[in-house]
Amino acid sequence: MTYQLFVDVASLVLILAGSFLVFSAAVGVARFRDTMSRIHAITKPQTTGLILTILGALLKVTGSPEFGIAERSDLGVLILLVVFAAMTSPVTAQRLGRVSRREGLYGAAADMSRNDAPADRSLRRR
Amino acid sequence: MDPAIYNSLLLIPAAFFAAAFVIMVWRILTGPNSMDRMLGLDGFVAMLQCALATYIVWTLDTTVANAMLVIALLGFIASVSVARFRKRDGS
Repeated sequence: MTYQLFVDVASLVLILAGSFLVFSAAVGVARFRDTMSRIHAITKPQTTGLILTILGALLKVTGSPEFGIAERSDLGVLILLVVFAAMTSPVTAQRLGRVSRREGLYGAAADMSRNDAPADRSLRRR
Repeated sequence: MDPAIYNSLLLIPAAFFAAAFVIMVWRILTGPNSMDRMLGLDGFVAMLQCALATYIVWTLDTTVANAMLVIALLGFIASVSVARFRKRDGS
């Protein structure tokens, strides 16, 4: 098994998994009923799919025939993108979740489990 | 692996990203409030980065990696600043 074949198969598997996760996050955004649920769909599957896809691209670029100095410097940018996706996703989710919680964008109370239910205080309007 | 087979197998992620694009744009256009539009934009930015990564794999041309970095930075700054400085809907 040559390195070329290994890189092709591994990058294809990673990109297929990542694209499926991105698509499932989009379906979650379309189907979930309230904003707090959509924050769940937008953070976890979306970021995992993004990281998997970038890792697949990184592997494929490593095994390409014209792999030189310029491609090697762009690999650093790709690694930086992985780190950046893992760093910024919790911050965005926390900010969006805080605003949604303060405005009471929870949806119907019957859809929530007891631990997810908001306190009465946070549902007060202005 | 033959590059023709590899590139034709890449059509499956491309179809997934196209469907995700349509769904995210629909959510941005018809979000019930502005937080949903911000969520749709956030997912749209991540989906765009994934599509550009697939473009890198398809053409083996890594010039687009800098554009991916710019898109990631702009999406993060945009969503955080909108969540910080927005006003309540209808006020």
